[in-house]
Order: sequence, then C-alpha cells, then structure tokens
Amino acid sequence: MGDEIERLYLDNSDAVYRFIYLLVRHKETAEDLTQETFYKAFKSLNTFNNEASVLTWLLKIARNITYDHFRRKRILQFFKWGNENDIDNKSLSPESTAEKKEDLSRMYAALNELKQDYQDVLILRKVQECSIKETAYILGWTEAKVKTKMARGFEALKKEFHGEGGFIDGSLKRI
Amino acid sequence: MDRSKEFDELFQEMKRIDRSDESRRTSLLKLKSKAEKKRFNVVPVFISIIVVAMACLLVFVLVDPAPEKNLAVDIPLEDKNKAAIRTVLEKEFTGPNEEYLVIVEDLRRQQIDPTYEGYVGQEQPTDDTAWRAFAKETYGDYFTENGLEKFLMATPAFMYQWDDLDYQLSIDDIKVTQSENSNAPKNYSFTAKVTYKFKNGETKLYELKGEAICSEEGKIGKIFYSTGNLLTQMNEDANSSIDVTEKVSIFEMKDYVIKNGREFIKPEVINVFENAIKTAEKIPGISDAISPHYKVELNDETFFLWLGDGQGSIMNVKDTHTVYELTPESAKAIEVTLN
Repeated sequence: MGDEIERLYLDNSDAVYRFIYLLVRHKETAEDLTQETFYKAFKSLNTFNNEASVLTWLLKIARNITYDHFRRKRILQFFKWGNENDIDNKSLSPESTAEKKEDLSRMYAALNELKQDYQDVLILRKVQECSIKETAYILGWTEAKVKTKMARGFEALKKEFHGEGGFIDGSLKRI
Repeated sequence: MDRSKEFDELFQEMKRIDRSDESRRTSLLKLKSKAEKKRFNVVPVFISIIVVAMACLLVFVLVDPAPEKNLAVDIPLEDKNKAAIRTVLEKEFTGPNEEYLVIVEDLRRQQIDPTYEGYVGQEQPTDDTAWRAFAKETYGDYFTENGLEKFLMATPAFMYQWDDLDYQLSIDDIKVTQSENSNAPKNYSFTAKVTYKFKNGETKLYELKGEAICSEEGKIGKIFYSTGNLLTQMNEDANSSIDVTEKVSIFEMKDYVIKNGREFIKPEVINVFENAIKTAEKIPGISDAISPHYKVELNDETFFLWLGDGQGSIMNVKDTHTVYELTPESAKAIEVTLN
C-alpha cells in the first residue's frame, strides 16, 4: 500500500501542487491541500475507472478539495499572497529579464482579479496544458463551456493585465 | 506584439513554481503515516462494532424475548439499510442548516476574529469539538464509525451547507435499490431529485446518483454520489452574490506592491469605511505621495489609504491629484478595524 501511494505521489505531486498553489497562492495551504488530494485519491482508487488519465483525475480531486477550502474560508476570506518578489526571483530562469519579472508579477495580480471560473480554465489550459476534453472533465463542464469560458477568461485577463479592468500594481508607479 | 503569445511566455514561466524537496518529502511522510494510521484503525473499529451489535442484540432478546408488535423486528434488514441511506441523503440535501452554520461561524471567528474568546489565528488548528459533536449527532446513527469518518473528511459531509448564499435546497423522489448481484448484497444504488432554489427565485433541478455499501445493519460503510454541476452552480451563485453584496477589501501595500488582503462583508465594517470617505476633507494642493499603506476597494471604487499616528488620508485612484484627510475619529476607527 505504501509503495502504491508513494508512486502515485512521486509521479504527480508537483503538477498537483502547482495547480493548487496557483489557485490558493499560499505555500503551506497548497502543501496541505496536496496531501489531502492524494489521501482522498488513495482512499478512492477503486472508483478510478480510467475514463481520464491519473493526473487528470487527481486534478479533478484537487480542484474539488480547493473549492471546498475556498468555501469554508469564504465568509471572510483571508488570502496571503506570499511575497511575490520571492516568487519571481526563485521561479524565473536566470536569463529572465527584469521586465519579464515585472510582467509575471502583474500577471499574478491580474489573474487574481479574475472570477474563479476564469482562473480555473486559464490555469488548466495554459499552465497545466490540459486538453479541452481533460479540462471539461476536471471542471465538470461541457467542452463547449470550456471554450466559451476560455475565450472570456482570456479577454478578462487582457483587460486586467493592461490595466483596463481597474488598478494593478504596475500602473501605480507612474504617480 | 501578439498579446496571447506574450501571455504564453508568462504562462510558461508560471510552471516554475518553487517547491522545496523538504516540503515534498514531508508531505509524503505525512501522507503515508495518515494512510497507515487509518488502516490500523479499521480492525479495532470493526471489532467494537461487532461487540456493540452483539451486546445490543443480547440485551434486546433478554429484555423483550417475545415482542408482539415490535417495529424494529418487523423492519427487514434491507429496509433498515435503505432507511439509513435515505435519511443521510435527506439531511445532506436539505439546507441551509442554521445550526450547522452557527458552528461554522464559530470556527471562522476562531481563525479571524482576535476579539473572539476562542481566537487561535490562521496558523493554529481550530477547536472543532462542537463541529464533530454535531456531525456525530447528525450522522452517527447511520454510519459505521469508519464510514462516518470517511464521510466527514473525504466526501466531505455538509458540502451543500453554505453560509454566504441565500438559497434553499431540498430533495425528493429518493429511490434506493439493492444490488441484484448476489455476491454484493450490501451494495445499494440510489437516485433522487435535488431542487436548488436561488434567491432570485430561480429553481433548478439536479439528478442525484450514487452508490452505498451498508457494511453493518442499518449503517453505511461507504457512500458516494454526484449531483452534476450543482456545486459549481452554488459556487458561481455565491461568487456573484458576493459581487453584488457590499463588501470592502483591504490590501496591505509596501513599496506599491500588494502584500496581504482581507475582505469584510459585515455592515458595521463597511460603514466605518463609507463614513470615513464621506467625512474626509480635501487637502489643498498636489500632494507628494509616498507609497500607500493600504489599497481599499469599496462599492466599485478603489482608494489608496495612508494611516499613522491617529491620522489618515485617502485618495481615489481615478483622481490621483487629490488627497482627502480623514477625520481623527475615522482614522482611529479604521485602525481599530484593521488591527
């Protein structure tokens, strides 16, 4: 049993962690929810029927667990972003320019302003590189809904990123 | 430059999420120990259930050796199992349960309200004794001990009890069918119709489908079900109701970069900010602004806020040439709220 869970975890935990982290933006919480995802997955391995890849199935569980986390916290949400500059410095490749670091920082801020649906679909499609079919499975949507939400999410992201949807960090520096 | 391509590069960069080997390893160890612990729990739990069941049976026979019209005896085992499944579904899909929401509110205040007696903060575990007692009282009679634990933590239970949504949930047309497979007589499948009524009066019907295993008489060992996209719908409605509900969001800022954020939906807190803005007086001339201490979002407007030494000033981001000074009372009230 230990080996089985270990293999499942070693093969997929980084992808699951990344997905959760991008949704909650808090390292400890992301780590806790990753554990919970694998625990739940392990307990329900017998219900996994191969209609999706193991990772897609895990992402679906991760997404449900993260939603549950949001729901429990939402009455008065407290979200810690961590230090975005740290994220930039650690996660960007050395050759990344200062401009790109700033862009990434704005990207996180812009994404955070979007509706949860848009965040979900953009992260799954563009960062996790899930197919439309896989995304539909994870989110429990139809493929048509994924396409529509993706298009709208992208528009909303453009607006936020370029400051048309309200304040974001970058615009402030011009004061 | 093609904007979508520009984003693609940034999305690629977002894949590089930093996660230390130590965190990865620690999580795996915790996960394995949790999985192992559960396994060892199964045997004693199973034995205690058998012992309790036998003791109950013995007492029952001794106390009432020849019952004339005892319903408990008359109800066939299959029906007790079906009744347990039916009751659990009714409880789970009838909402909102005000008693449960009071308990959740207590947990919330433990985490975020420093004035609350039981406040522990975000980093410490909350005292969930009341939550557990309520869960046991609600569902304890219908689950094996192990089954209850799984239901509470993994399904999880109370998934359809929302505290920030004006809604009504009800269930009917519950049909529970025993498996025809003679090798799995304890397996049941069920269907039901769940009615979800949102505050705008709209009613939506969801088909519930699921399966359960009643490993003990009248007690569920395992249950799982799906309700299509009911949860997604509730989440969307809650999000949109938050959008239309008044709220004030406060973000701490340092060097023009947002650090932490908090969101308040309590009217008294919103009033503090609304009054502060209403009573603030324009400071003549153009101010040489330093980095704001807070970004405040209120009623579709965004402000920057400076606070300190019992004084405060505020600026609407749409007019960065004008700064308003808060009254000392407002500055103090905001300081108290934020601390």
